[in-house]
Amino acid sequence: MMSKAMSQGDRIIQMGLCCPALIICGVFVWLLFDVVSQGISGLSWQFLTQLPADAGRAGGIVSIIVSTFIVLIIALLVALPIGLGTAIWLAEFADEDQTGMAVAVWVRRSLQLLAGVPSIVVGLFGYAVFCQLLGLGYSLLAGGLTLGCMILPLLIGSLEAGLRAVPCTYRINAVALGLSKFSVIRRILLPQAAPALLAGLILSIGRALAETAALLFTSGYVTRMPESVYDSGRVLSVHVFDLAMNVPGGDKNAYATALVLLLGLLLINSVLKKVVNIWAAREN
Amino acid sequence: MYRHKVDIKFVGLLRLLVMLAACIVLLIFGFLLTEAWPFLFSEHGGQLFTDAVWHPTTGQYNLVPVILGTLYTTIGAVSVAVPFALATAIFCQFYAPRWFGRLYTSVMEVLAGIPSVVYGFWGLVVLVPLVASWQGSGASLLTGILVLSLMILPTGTLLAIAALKQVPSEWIQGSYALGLSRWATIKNIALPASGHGMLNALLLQSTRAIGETMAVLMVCGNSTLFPFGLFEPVRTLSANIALEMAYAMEMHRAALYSSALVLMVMVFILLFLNQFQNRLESTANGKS
Amino acid sequence: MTKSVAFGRKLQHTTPQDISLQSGPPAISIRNLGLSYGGHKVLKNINFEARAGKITALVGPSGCGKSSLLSVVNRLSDLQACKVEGEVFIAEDNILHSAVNVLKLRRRIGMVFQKPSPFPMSIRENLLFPLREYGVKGDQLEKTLEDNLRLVGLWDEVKTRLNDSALVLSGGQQQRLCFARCLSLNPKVLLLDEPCSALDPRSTQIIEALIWHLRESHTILMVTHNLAQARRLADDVAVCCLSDGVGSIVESGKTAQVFDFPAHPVTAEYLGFETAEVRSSD
Ligand SMILES: Nc1ncnc2c1ncn2[C@@H]1O[C@H](COP(=O)(O)OP(=O)(O)OP(=O)(O)O)[C@@H](O)[C@H]1O
Ligand SMILES: [Mg+2]
Repeated sequence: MMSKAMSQGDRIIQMGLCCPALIICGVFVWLLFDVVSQGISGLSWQFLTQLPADAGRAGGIVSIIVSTFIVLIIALLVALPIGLGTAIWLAEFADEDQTGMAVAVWVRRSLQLLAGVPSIVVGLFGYAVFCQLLGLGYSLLAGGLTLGCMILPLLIGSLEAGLRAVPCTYRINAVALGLSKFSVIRRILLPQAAPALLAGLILSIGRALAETAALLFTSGYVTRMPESVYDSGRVLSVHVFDLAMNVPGGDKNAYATALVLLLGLLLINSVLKKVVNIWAAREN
Repeated sequence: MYRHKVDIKFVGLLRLLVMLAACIVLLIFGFLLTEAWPFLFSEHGGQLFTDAVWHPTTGQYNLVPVILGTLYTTIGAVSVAVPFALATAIFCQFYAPRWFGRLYTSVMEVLAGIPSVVYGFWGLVVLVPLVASWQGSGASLLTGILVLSLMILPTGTLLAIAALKQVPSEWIQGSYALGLSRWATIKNIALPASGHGMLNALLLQSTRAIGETMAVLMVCGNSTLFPFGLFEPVRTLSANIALEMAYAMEMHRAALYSSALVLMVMVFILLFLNQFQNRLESTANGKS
Repeated sequence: MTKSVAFGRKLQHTTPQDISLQSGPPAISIRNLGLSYGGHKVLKNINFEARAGKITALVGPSGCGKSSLLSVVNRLSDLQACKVEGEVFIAEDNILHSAVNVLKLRRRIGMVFQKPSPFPMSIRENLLFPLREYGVKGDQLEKTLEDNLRLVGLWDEVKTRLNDSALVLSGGQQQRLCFARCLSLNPKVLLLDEPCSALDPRSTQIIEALIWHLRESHTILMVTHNLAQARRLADDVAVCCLSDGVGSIVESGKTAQVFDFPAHPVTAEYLGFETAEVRSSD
């Protein structure tokens, strides 16, 4: 108990440190309260199910939500196979020999760099490659592909960590039985790592949902309901940006859209927490 | 090495996927370079620094004000965020009740996921009028710094708390046992021992701030004139790209890709510093 | 050299049934074996023979490299960053040759570890998954499942809950399941790394009876710290000891010979504990 007692000086410092914490809390409460209180008035069933009208000032955001989903799904369809394959290689095959280890060092470095590339630059890359070189133009497909590149490092990182967390005894036993690595990975490692893999996936979805800059020049601005993946479509975050910056009088719907975006992220976050908890429970 | 038949195919497929993943960053760099080439490696290249202003329609491409705008906002945001993150991390770890620390951490985790466009929007609607009522038009370097620092705060705080948690509790307990006050313990033991993690956090958040687009685009005013004061509008590299890319043609377009290269280089320098510092730390640990 | 290649080929065309039909268990002969982990020498000059169809016990103090030695015999050592030199002959073939098909080799050599380690699947799948991997199909699967569970005395205990997770079994049951899993592939050689050390006396007894039962049809190489157990079960004993931090076999031979008339002073010293133990229990 002696060590817990605080001196006079410590009390003053405690007060001093308390202030920044309270200020930060205050500012974030202000921010969230502002978005929620302003956004809730615009939020309604109609808002979620109607098409935008009058440049987004009126109407709803159903086409925006659909576009967002399509872009997310495309991004995952691209990133998941590449990410899972890379993670499996890094976790299970890279350490087999000297060359593998050397290659893995460079692969990791390259992924670190990719994680650091500003999203607007990834957007420029997507524009040059997917929109122009591959001729996709402003389209959901181009946006999804670009976003897939963006979330790859995060996805690979969490998938690899999940695989490495599976106890080694399974691998040793399987090798002693002469089983193929493929079936060991499929039947034992992947099922064992499933909750961790799911958590990594959800984390990446959250990151993708929050992204704006990479999509400005790839999936585009069109607010119509997309008819195919080759159509341009606007995602939620771009909608907020456009309403706030380019549409006078669009603030009300911008608030409501921002709230939808935040609620979506909150939902993803709580699902993530659940998954992690399930995992932790299984560990014990 | 002997492999099952299925494994041979499987490894082949995996190697292909790994190549793909590892090549993306090279592709990005390569494409930026080819798109920037006509501008950067022609007689125009020097214009980035010698022209009078950034005015692409008249063929003038001085990037210096924009680069300075990027540096000012980043440095400003980091220097506002660091004391706050450090103070709250120390408070949570050493002075606050345990429940508060845990609550604060999980709130920060949620806030770290807020899209930057929401920060920018809030800054635009709330902060800009507030600053304007004080001085200037509101959309200014100051507003940009505030919004940006707010954006990097949650992750920064989380990393700082994690760095403090890394300090072995025996050291802390040992110091208390010697009768040292908390502040003395923090100053002499906790902070030096977690310095490496703190620096790591700082560099990582700087890369985020330097590359951020939406938050600054919405609140900085985006003037390409030389930034003179806190209340003057500024434009950052990323905002410049976002604003002009939609209508940029030919040389202007190549100039924008060049500016993206400049941005990439700035980010890579920070990442390199981070790696260098990590290596220093690990060799230091290896020796001790 | 050509022999090793032939060995690999021969195995490639065999199915589990073929192997069981092959003539009896092979002898294992280890010659001049040395092993080091990244420059750190762990074993040197290992020479001994495990006779075909007999139980050979490998005893010695902790850390002298017994597990490492076992892992060379089925090339599990390939997984670690360790360097192996010398020769290990199984029947006529040097299995350390690089052209040996290690997968078929491991298939012919069963291994059971100290810690029971069933896969995280149902009891049934624990046996069927490796079998299917080897192309066993249909009725044969169920039959092999039942036969092997009976063999290890687990059938009556688990037959009503074959689809439950194997991880809920007791330690002794899990270890027997691992035996069954390894036996279902019809190995001719068994490597047992302290298979009873995590078990209670009752389970130990069951496993010992099983090992005894498997004698004759299998060549068994078994690491144990329990000298009484070595004496009860083993035909031959090899004593591994550390000298200058490097492990080597100081003595090997018939169990009674080594235990009663140790030729080497180090062996005598190591077995000293055991003689006292036997006397007091007698
Ligand atoms: N993967 C490895 N890398 C480096 N050194 C190792 C490795 N595995 C074992 N060793 C070392 O090799 C030596 C022999 O280890 P081994 O596990 O073979 O001993 P053991 O005789 O089986 O001991 P025990 O009776 O305790 O199981 C030890 O000094 C150990 O530290
Ligand atoms: Mg051992």
